[in-house]
Amino acid sequence: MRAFIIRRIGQSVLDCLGVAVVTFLLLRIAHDPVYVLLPPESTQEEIETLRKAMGFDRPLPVQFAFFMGRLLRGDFGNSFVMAQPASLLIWERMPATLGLSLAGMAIALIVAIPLGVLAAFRRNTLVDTFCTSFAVSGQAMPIFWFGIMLIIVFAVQLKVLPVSGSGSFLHLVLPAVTLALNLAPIIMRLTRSRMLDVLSQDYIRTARSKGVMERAVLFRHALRNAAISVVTIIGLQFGRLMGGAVITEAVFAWPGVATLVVSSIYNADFPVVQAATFYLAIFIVAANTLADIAVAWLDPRISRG
Amino acid sequence: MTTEARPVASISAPGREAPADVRGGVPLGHRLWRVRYGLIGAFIVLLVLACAFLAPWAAPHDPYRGVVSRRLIPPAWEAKGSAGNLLGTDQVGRDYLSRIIFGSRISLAAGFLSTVLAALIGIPLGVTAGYFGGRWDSFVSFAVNVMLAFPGVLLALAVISVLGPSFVNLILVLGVTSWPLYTRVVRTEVMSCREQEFTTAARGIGGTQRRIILRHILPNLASTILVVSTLEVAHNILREAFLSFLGLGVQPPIPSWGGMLSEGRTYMLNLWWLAAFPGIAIFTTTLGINLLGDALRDFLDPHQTS
Repeated sequence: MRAFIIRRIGQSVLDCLGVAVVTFLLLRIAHDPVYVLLPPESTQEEIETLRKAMGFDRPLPVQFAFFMGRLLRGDFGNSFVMAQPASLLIWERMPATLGLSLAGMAIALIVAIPLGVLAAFRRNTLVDTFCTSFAVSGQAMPIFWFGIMLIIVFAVQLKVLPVSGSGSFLHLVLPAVTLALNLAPIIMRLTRSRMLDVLSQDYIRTARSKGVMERAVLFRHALRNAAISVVTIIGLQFGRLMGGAVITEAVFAWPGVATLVVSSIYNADFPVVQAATFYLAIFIVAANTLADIAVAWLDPRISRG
Repeated sequence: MTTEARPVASISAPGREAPADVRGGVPLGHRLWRVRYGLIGAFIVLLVLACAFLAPWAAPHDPYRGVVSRRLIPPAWEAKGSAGNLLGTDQVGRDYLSRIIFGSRISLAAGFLSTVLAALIGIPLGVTAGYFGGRWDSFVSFAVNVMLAFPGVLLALAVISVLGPSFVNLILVLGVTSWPLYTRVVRTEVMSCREQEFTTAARGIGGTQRRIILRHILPNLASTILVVSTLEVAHNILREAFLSFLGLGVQPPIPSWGGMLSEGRTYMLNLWWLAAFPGIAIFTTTLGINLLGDALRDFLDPHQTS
């Protein structure tokens, strides 16, 4: 187990390094990074000063070493608009994004897992058709549009919930439901197919043939063994969760990282965009690693095999 | 599970059977439903394709020409609607139905072209990684892991912030950020093909690696690639719509569903249709492609009924 954890953490450190490389290259896909980093009205002198300061005139590997040195100190430069370190701005916004993500994930799990189990247990019945249809239409739904429709119905027509922004628990409801819709269909489909796998195992057939009641088969035998798969599923969906949070925040003006990123793009405030991309990716790597370790802890076969 | 143990009714059911089926296998009605879903998907896809190709003839009005006296007319069935503008008009008096019909061109073009780009990057990487293995494989798998660590939309946003918004950049960004799925799926598939007898046989009679890959392995990947492609097209249509919605994709006055949604949002407090119709168009198109993709998977890969 310890060897597995060490190996897995080593791999995630390597992934973080890869994330840093991509973040570094992000700026270099422009013809001349200086124009991305400086406001359009800068003078020739300012441009040359920055080029020297950032080392853009030096070879790429040297630039990368320079970049890594700053990155390890969490230094992505100052935001052009707010004249504060970009990292600081991101970290101020992070709690709002994480709060929204957790709420969305919680709703998605509460809805999707029971539906997935039910669909598998009542496979090829009307119940299954209904659940699967829900998943198929959910996957095709543009969630930013779904969010707007929720606003029209619940905030504009019924006036029971606020349109956008944050501050109270009620502000969280619509964004969290929107975000949950981005996750629930895929979680439901995965739960259903894992559950079908479990239900086809020998020990389930043994339990059934012994005359164990169907309800006991489901709750005592099948669900317990499907739980491990569910943890894996949650771990794998973190990337999707953060992607969904980006979209949801943009629709509801939720004061998280993504809203800041979008406004930074309009303002050509690149350091903030770069810092946000980096930190969210690192967060996803960390979440995936933790999920893998949790699964290995629940299912010893994995760390040994 | 042996065949004898199974009730007669389930023998006709395709694919791997789970004991949840003991009560009678896949009923005929349910299987017909599945076929019907696929047909509905195919019908929707054909309809959207027809809209895109025949837009100049199918659209009742010019999607760019606004009539100032006819602004913000509600859909024809509303109290103040007009039969001349079936889905009403927008804030500058352009016919909404015509703009929706022309919008299908942007969505399909962006979805299709970016997926082709993703396939051109992802498939060669996946094939070579799966076939040659070793260090190259480790490197490719590492690259896939790193790409998947970025929340897809955010990476696309970041790249757009550097390149600037335009249709070509949109396709580049969507393509370059969505290849890892191809690589991952193709790599696994190639690894299993490599060990199969037809590959060993081809190697045995002196086939070159190039020939084995192109003539023996690639044709076996066709159905997988087709299924992944339908999913990717649908996914990229959604992402294009979101980027255009943020104003970072196709620029106005070109009609795109995402862009129309973003303009319509300003009026959503009392003019619901401006925000509703583009979304319905995006949803229906994506749903059609997904249904078709699911049906294709059932049809091409009977081992994997889901």
